Amino acid sequence: MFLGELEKQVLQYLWSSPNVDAKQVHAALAKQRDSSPNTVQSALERLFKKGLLSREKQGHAYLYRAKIKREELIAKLIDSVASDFISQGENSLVAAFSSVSSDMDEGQLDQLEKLIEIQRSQLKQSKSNADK
Amino acid sequence: MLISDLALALNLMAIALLGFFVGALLLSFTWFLFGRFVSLYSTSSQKMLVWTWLLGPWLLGLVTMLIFSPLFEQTALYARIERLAHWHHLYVFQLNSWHGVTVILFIVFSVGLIVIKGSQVYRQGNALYTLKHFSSSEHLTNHGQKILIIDSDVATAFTSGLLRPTCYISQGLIDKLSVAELNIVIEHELAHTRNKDPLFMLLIACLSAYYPKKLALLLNAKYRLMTEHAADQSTVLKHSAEDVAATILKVVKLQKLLPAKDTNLYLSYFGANDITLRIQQLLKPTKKSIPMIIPVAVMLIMLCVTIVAVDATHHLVESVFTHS
Repeated sequence: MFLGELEKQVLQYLWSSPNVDAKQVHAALAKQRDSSPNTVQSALERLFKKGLLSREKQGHAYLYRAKIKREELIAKLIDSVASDFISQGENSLVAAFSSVSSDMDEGQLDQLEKLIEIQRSQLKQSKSNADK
Repeated sequence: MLISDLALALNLMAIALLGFFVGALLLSFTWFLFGRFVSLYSTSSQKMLVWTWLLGPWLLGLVTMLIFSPLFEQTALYARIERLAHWHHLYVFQLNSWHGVTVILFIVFSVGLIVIKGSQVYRQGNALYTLKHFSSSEHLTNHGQKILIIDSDVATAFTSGLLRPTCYISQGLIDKLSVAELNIVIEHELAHTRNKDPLFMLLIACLSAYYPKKLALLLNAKYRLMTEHAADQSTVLKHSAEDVAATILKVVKLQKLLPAKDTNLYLSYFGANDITLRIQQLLKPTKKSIPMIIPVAVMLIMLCVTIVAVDATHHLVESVFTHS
């Protein structure tokens, strides 16, 4: 998911102030950056097309609100970072500690857990034998 | 038709490419015969073998090109090789010949590959930048290396970034791990940053793209597993292998609790078998290594075969189809 600098600022603003029109967004962001009303309108349009905003027509203007919560977007971004290369059937540029695998069931995990426990008890046994 | 230094350069490129394809074919066939035995050897041996497989065709192509080039024309070795194999139109190159087509296709494929990988790197960089914008706060480790904390319930830890890789760990994972477990995760990820694994993964992905898709995926997966083994091993220096294995399992279980289908969160970097292999390698490490002489000897044999095959293919195609 690609988000430009202005899109990030717009989204951040809409999380704190939902149901606002393009003029209000432009006025709020004017303190942070020098963007024209048209640029802000385009950013809102792009975010809407990306499915990150919803809108409702009121009079001549649209009222925008964030369609996705901040936590959900972060989860999506993590997914996007982690699985971008995987979706191409190739390696990711991410080295992850561990991963969920759809084809790894509870039984397999339990088996691995048992294997670790066996190894632990064997080590304990050999240590106590060595102490004697 | 070109008759100039440019023709020489293009001919050398055509030779290198033919050498590369013969080398790739030979190495693909060798993987088909011996690939299943690679897992029997130590992590470092397996890593060396994967590199040999990936760099092999390039090396064979390059050496074949040098041997056919006029660089060593005055040497006794050149005279001997020339009796066995030679390129009879080194200073003449026809662009509308099969050599021309091969060179153009290779250039088009390589440029396409660079564009695709470049855009993937850019997109991923943007996603990381956005992630940092919305969620992370810096955190310093004992060794002065940066770890960025992602303010999210998703249980995840990963390393990303090519030239200056950075570790990321989610608050959700931190909250669910003990101090010792968290140290294991951090040390594992810091090992990835020290080894610059994301950069090498990209390099491996690019090099393997010239192989058949199935073999490319296998080599990528094998290399990725080796980087995980190496990172696991570096944590074993301060923690017991059993504790590291148990932490891997705990994180996998935490990730399985995620509502993956609802949020499209499939962080499946490995198949089930990879987690099993990592744990098995931790508990019962394979120490058998391959003597360096074996890959060197195999590559020398392959070089001889490649030189002869390049000459034979060239003459065969030429006598059957002529050049254009």
